[in-house]
Amino acid sequence: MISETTFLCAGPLTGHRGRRLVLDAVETGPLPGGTITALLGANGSGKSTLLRAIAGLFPVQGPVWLGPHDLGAMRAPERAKYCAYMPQTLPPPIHIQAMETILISMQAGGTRANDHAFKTAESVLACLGISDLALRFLDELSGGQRQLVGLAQALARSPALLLLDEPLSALDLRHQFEVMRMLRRETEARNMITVIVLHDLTMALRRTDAAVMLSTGRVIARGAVEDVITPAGLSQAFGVQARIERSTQGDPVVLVDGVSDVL
Amino acid sequence: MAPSESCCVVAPASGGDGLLFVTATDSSDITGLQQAYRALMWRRIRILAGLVAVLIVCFLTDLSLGPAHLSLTDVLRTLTGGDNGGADTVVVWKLRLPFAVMAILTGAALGLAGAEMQTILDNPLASPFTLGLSAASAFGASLAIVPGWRLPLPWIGGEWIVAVNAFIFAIGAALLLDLVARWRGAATGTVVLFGIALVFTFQALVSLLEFLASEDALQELVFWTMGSVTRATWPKIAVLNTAFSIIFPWSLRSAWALTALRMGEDRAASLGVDVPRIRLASLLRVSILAALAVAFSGTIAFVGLVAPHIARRLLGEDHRVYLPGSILVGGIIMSAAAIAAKNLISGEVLPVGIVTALVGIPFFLVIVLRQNRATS
Repeated sequence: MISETTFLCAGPLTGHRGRRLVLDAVETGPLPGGTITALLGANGSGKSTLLRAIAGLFPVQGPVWLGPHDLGAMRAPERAKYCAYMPQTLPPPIHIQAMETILISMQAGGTRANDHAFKTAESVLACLGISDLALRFLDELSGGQRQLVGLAQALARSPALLLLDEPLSALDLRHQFEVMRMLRRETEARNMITVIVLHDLTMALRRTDAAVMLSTGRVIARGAVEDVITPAGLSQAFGVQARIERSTQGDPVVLVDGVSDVL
Repeated sequence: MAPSESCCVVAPASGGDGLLFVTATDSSDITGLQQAYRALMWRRIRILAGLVAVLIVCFLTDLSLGPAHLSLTDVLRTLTGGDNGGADTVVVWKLRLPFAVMAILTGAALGLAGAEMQTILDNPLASPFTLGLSAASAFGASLAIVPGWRLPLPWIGGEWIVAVNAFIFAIGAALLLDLVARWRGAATGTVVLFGIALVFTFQALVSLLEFLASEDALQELVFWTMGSVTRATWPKIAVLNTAFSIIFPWSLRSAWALTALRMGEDRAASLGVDVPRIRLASLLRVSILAALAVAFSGTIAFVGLVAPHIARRLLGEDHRVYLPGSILVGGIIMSAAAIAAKNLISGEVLPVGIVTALVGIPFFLVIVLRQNRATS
């Protein structure tokens, strides 16, 4: 068990796509275990690329350390032991049962199916409230259901580092809420480092601890989420005029009033 | 440490085995879901056994039919050593048996090649025939016959030059396809169009050679354009069988990785699958299988395309059962086609390739139309 808190320290990371600079000395700062960090920014700002770089799927220059482990220097099979990544694309509608895809994601590294793996898979499905989908084929499920199965695939691997690229994009309101609550619970209970690309800023404010805001491949703000999501920050990152208000229950809400001229 | 509110709160003190989930219920008893999953696996094994049974029936039927009227008991008696006159022995050992075995082996090789191609190219229309591997092999084989082109490898002689040439062109075509498939996220359609371009190119080149060929060589060449198992000999069967016996376990070893690849390349890579290596190994296997099938039986249409689709419907896409399933279905289709080829026109044995093409085209259209509906 992890006795002290582990930190993810990524960066400064620099990466190119073709000749274009897509990550410009991006640093996440130390992200402690048991916390959720949101990656924020406009379309094409480099959020997904940063996440892929941390997952080792996009070649970059720069270090990625997870506690004492140099993730950047690891080969894919070894890195997969520490880190689970869920891509933005939904799991494709293939003719395999949901349960099986979860077992595969736990075993593609080489270990064999056993009862323990099965129980883990089963409890993750129960945790996400989709036990009834276990024996359904992915090509019979809706997009949102497949996204939940994709999330189960990542969680079932019990990673130290969980990287999720827009995990809520296909979910209905209730499932969005439930998934974020579950992520919070699991992140704390497992002392996991969770990094999520999010577009819902209100959700980010309420459900994450820290945030990294990107614009055109550079970090424009990082730190505690309420210090990052500010009218000034939103104007710079998204080019919008926005307010952060309190709801009648005291929770923060992001309201967009218009387009700012700054960008 | 009471996991009161959640269904899957961890037990942090339970040691560092990495698997932190524990079920709320007693973890030793077998749950209903696990039982259901086991039942599913058993059902798949039963389906595989059923396919084996069908294959055996096809094989025996194939053996007992033909221009020379021999009953199944005659055939079996000859096979088990009971020699009732020279003619029967010749018919069974030189014609019936090698043809029937070659049909099944060719079908099995094409089924496996098609199944792997559809997975690594992430394309339901992929198969050695539809994407030009067969045409490329046929051209390579033709080159050995008409201008007599060959690699400067003196120790390879006779008929094997044809097989080596077929392989070189098959792997070349396969690598080109892979290149296009990886080209900045080329769409499914692009790969298919490129494959069709390969088919036409190599067919045109084969036609060119046919035009230039002498009478005798033309006879040889026509064989490549219509697949047939009537050139089967025991040495050829031995080579195909050896290749298949090496390649099939090799494929099965990658079964997990291949299944993971079906969930998307990024997902597979993040699971620790070395995607480029898996893909290259798979292309190598596909090329060997396609090249040998073409070198020995000519271009056989659509078996490599249709067999994986049938296997997928029957067994799902877990490659541990999907790959054997594709092999069995491929063998069954070819065997059945060989039976049909003998009996469609009485007294004539049609080239099997013609039969599989005629039967395969409707299947092909169904797959294309269903694909259209799924994407629109």
